[in-house]
Amino acid sequence: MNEEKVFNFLKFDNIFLFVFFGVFVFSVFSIFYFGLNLGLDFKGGTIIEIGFEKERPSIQEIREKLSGLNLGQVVIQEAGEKNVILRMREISEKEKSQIFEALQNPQEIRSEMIGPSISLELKRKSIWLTVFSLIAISIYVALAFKKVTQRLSSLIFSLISFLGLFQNTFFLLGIISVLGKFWGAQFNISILIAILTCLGYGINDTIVFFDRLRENIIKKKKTDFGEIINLSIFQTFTRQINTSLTTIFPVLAIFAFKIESLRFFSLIIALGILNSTFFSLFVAGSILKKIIKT
Amino acid sequence: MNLQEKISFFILICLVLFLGIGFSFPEIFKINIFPKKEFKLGLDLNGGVHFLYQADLSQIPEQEKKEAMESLKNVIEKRVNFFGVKEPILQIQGEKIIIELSGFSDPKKAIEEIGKTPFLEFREKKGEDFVSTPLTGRYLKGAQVSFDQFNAPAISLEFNEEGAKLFAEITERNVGKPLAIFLDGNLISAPTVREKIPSGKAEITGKFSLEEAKELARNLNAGALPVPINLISYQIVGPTLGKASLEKIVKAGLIGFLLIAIFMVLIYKISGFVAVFSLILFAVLNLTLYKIIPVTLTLSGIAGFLLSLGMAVDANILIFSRTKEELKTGKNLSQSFKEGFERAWPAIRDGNLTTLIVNLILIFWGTSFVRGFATTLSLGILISMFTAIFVTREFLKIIISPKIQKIII
Repeated sequence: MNEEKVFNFLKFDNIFLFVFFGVFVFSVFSIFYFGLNLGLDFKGGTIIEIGFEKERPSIQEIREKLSGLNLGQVVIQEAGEKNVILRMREISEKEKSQIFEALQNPQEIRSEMIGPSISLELKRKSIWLTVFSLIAISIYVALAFKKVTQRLSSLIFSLISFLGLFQNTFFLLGIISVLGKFWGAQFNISILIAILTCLGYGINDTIVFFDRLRENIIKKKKTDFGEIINLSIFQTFTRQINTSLTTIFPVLAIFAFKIESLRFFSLIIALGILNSTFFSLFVAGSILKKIIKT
Repeated sequence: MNLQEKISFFILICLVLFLGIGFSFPEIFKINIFPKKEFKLGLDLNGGVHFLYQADLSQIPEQEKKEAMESLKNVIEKRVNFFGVKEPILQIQGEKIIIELSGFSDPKKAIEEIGKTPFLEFREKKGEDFVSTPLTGRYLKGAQVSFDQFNAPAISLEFNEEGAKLFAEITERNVGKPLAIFLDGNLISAPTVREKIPSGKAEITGKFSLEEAKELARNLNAGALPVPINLISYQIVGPTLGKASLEKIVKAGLIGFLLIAIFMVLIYKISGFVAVFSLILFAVLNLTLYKIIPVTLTLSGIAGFLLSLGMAVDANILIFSRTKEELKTGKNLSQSFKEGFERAWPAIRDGNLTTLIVNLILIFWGTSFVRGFATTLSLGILISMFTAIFVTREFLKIIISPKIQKIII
């Protein structure tokens, strides 16, 4: 094999680790500071999007018109050019027609109501969904890294990839809490699915890297371990970037077209894929290097 | 591969592509051999309503609950059929009932017709209050407009055998007392019972106009709800939003596809081009299967499909990267490709497996948003194993030649 010049990624291992853990700390901080803005799925309530044919009344005007209806707290938000989104507690059909009357019968773009018993059920379902998915991923990781054992315990590989999954989960929850604070994003089932999808897909990059590492360990017994890690990063660098890019392309296209129910969903998938690629490219190797040294 | 094999493979792929496109978009070809079946669109793309009603079965004995839900479903089905919706979905889930009317653009009317179907109930006096009796619209045989002794419109009811028995018992124990008729929880009238009525016939008098009486009789005939229901969750998508969303996601899909195609050709040259060809075949096969199975396409479902487009070329990227490496070690072109396909396989298999496992859990567990997404994504992953690996490999075998070595990858 002709020797290529291998870029020394691990020279920056401290920076990679700093970014990795820094992002984690910030995310945890943001989750606790801003909180998660629970969506209709988990909290119950009503969302109504209405469209005005002529001029859209101001939020203040709408609030005044609805004030006599005893709807509790109503969150009013402008959407698009002529639409308004109203969020409130779960309301009866009667109350809904009162709202439409009070606003001079605007067009009903969409509406959704979820009663308290349903939101409770959805919450329960989502917890099981998450638990089962995590167990499935764990079993997979444990099985996948059974094959990697050469000089290292497969436990180390599993633990490192779990660290990545763990950080990615908190990173995405942190993003959603920030988006929730400033752009009204809500944590609902679709966001949960986006996160689980990122975990399932993101682990693949890590496996591609560890797979190559194993191959190199077997091939070059004499070289220094740090060099083997670095070589593995170098060799898998382009393909990891490329696979992530092609997957992100359609996701970004969905995001760009501003489809309401998929906006934050697509953003979370894109960011989740980027973060897991960063992890498997730079962080996994850096951690491995630190562990082996000490 | 000899020339004959090459040609037959090429013809086979073209045939699959032709059939797939013809089946997915029969309007493209001007021949009438393809079934004119349309894609099944979910309500977020087609507009429509999704209702979830909770039935109140507290008055129904345990062994009759199942039957009561069935008859509730039948009654609602009759009502819904008035709307002329193509394929209404009615589903019983324990003590809940799901009603989905895709493409129905008048949610107010739907809620009125379903929700306002009268719940008829007879109540007897206990102390100061009226309390429910077992006699409800469940036991109604028929209703029609009649006129009372003052010639005001009224509604005469006729109970079935069981109802007549109940009515006889109730009137017997309430002689000299008022017996109230409630419609949807509202008191309509409370005539005093003069004697036991064994005939199973009763008359509701109240302040109805003729129109009101007619409508009420019609509704009661269409089926008074056997048990009271309560709307606990709904989703309504207006027709304009559905259409706009469909247009947007189709455009997003095309742009996503173009980005992937340009990227692949730029980076992997002719091999990239072959991968894009496989990707087209992949897309067509997916769309065809959506029609055949059929898969109800929702926004999230299409998002899952688009994501699977991106994941499908992942396999090709892993294969081509490996092939490039093998080329650098001095192997010849077909040897390198062979190694590339072989060595990249474990990573491709493992990668697809994790995504697939998570998705299968989502399909069995999820709500309609989740299921839509997971179904198309899983289907995509399975099909990509065929197109991205098998089709790409065979195609490359056909065109590999040392003459174009420089631009092949």
